[in-house]
Amino acid sequence: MATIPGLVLSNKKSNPNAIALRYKQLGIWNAYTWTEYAAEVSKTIEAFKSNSIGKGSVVGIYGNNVPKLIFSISAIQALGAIVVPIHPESTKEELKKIILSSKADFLIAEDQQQVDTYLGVASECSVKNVIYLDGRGLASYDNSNLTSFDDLISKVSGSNTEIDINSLNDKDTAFYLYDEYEDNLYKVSHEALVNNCKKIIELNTLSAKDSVVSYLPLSIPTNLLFTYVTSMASGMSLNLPESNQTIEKDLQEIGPSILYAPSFVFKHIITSISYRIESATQENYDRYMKHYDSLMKIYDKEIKGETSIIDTLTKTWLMLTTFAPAKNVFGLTNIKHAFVSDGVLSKVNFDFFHAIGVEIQHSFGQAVSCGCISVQPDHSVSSENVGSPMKGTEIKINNNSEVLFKTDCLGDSVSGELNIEDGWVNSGYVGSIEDSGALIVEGRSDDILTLKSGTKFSPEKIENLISCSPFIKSTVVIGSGQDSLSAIIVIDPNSVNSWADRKNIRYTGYSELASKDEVRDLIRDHIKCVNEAFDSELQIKRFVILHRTLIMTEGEVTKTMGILRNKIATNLKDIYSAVENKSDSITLNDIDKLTYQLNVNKVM
Amino acid sequence: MTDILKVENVTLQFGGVKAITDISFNVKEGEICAVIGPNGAGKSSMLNVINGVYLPQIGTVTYNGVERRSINPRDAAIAGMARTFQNIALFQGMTVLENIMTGRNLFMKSTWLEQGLNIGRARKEEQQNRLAVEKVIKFLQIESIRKTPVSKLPYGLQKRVELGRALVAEPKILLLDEPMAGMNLEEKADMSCFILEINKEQGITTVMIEHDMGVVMDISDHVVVLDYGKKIGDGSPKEVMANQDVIDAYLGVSH
Repeated sequence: MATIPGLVLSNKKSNPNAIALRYKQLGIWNAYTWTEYAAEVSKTIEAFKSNSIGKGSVVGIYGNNVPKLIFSISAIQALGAIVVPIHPESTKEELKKIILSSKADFLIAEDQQQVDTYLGVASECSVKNVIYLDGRGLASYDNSNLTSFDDLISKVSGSNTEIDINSLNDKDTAFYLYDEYEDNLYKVSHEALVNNCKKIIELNTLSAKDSVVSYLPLSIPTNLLFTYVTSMASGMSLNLPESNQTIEKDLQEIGPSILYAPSFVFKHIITSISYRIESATQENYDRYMKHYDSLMKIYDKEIKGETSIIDTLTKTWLMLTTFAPAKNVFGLTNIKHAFVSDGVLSKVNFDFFHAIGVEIQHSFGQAVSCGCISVQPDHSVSSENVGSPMKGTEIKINNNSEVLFKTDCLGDSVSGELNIEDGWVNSGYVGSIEDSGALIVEGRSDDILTLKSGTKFSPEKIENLISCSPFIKSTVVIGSGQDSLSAIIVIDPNSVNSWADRKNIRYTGYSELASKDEVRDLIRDHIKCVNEAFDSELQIKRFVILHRTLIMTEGEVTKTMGILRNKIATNLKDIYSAVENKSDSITLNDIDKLTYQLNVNKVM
Repeated sequence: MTDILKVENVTLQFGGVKAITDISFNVKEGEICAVIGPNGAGKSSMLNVINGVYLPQIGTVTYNGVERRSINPRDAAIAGMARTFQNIALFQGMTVLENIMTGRNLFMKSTWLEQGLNIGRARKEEQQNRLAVEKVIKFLQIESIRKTPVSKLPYGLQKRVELGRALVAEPKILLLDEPMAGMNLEEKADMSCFILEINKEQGITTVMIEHDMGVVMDISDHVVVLDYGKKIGDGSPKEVMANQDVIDAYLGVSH
């Protein structure tokens, strides 16, 4: 039975007392076994039935990962309805777009924040009923459309019937998934999603004994595949952190064996290590730096297979004294597989993780391809590619360097036609294929820039290299139609703060820190280094340090910190025009309606 | 609505200095009452009279129908009064969790020796009371700093921890002494939300001293204005704003 509710039942049968779900509440870890999990799902089914959710309904799951929402997913699907995961931080526009294009008639909202966002667009949507989990702050709301989840459950408590999956078909649509880059909704069937997941399980020999932590919302298609569906299809436990602020501690307590995260999370780990080291005593700082250098030297030898017994002993010593404790702080001690999607890690970061024994495996996939079409094998040492095509998948590159693929686990577009060329789906990304057959993804085809000279290039590669510095949070390369490239740099507040403290640089807040000459020099030195890897034409000649970070709720970055260029170009158009006019200073009228003075700095 | 607290003709003197002169006002059950006034107007002294830290020379305080001139602060706490302080009074070396746990002390029967050695009843009681503490931690959204020593926290969060300690005592009436002093805009907005939720959803009567007029006018149902130890205004925020004496006290007139 390859339906999600079917998997709940088969897990209950094969592993009745194994832990299915672990979550932290009120400071304590609680767990559900698969038997308890199934009981919760059937209770939820009864509750939803009484609220007239049934075959043909489309239900939005709108919130962070909390057990009730997790149970709701299989409950909704068991009733023959379709689930649309919606990101808890979605803007009104995005929520409206998803509700309208999915024709959602119910929403399960986590708390007041989600209810408020919905009420802002309620008049334009035809949602019949909103079921909320946490009624805090909602007592005074006078809206007959709001129903409490707990009230629904309390009316049916006691009934504990088996989940009925007889009317379900493997080919039924299980989820509508929203792709932020495409701004489009895709439908995927139970069969496609579960089969795609089984390929990953088989390839990496994952089992019910593993455990995975899901700390990003399930609205991110790759996260849905690698955490929720993986746990369902393999029977491993799914662990949910207490809140977004406690993730680091919770990860440490769980020590999962499987980790999935978009590349920005791994970069964040590097940055966190870096700012802790920056704020350590000089003695510890020097020691760490020395150990880091020796570790990386040994790793280089390891790749070439030239390690001596002394190297092995030294590495054991380095791990014991420095890097094993660091791994433990981030909950990485037990990691067997660390899957990355949404971009690749830079070589420096990729090598570092491999050197400390965290096997990073890049993957590539989108909502339409059920989250994954290619994944790197275990022990891969290439930081550039995103792995070879999975079983049942073929990938080729067309004349415009675009990545085309065929897969037996394909979804379909809800709102429009799929971009298909001669039976091949266009992924919307450009790339190439290595001799080994592994795919290299350069960036989105919409993002390709053309210089005045006619040279075309993907800005993402340059941006990745610049952003690998722990001091830089994000980079936007601009230069379409210009004779040289410029970059907008967003500094990382945490690590630059620690660095500035170390250097005795005084500042009052983020924007002042970003305008400091010392910070400018720090960034300039880094860009100079990065430039060495590129031809003169593709080198960054000028840069601007932004006075704020890029804002997710303004649509400047995706939920996984991917750059959304169109919105940035609109919001920061003053920077673009100043760069075009080659002026040295910018008067920026920002979205907060205030005016800021920024400098354009030359790299040379 | 009945009056939960009645202050009648209270006069408080420190030697020759009259801190409070003949002040009377009532607090209705379930309302947010703000006590405002310039520095040295006697606001904090007023709170100290209410929960029994100071003994007024003249006048009575009727709380929950019981009239008295003085009360032991411990008895005040048992009767359901909890408070926070203008200058944060937390145990700086202890964690957030431990600090808030101290607010549950009234619910524990074990002796200090048992508690100190963590044996016998103390152990069980701590587990039982932990749930109440965790609920407040969740309510105030401070899960991530649960185990952080208070001295490491910024000022705004320390204020929140102090509110947490008052809340776990399950009070009927909450006395807040400048809950928003020294906070930035965002922290003030958060704190206002918490105070409103405590009041509206848990029904706890709140008496609060506050300097930020925006906050006072936004969230309180009833405002009492003191100046030089005397009451010069008493009513809804609107009435108080229109009161000439209050305007004079805040904007200044030639005496």
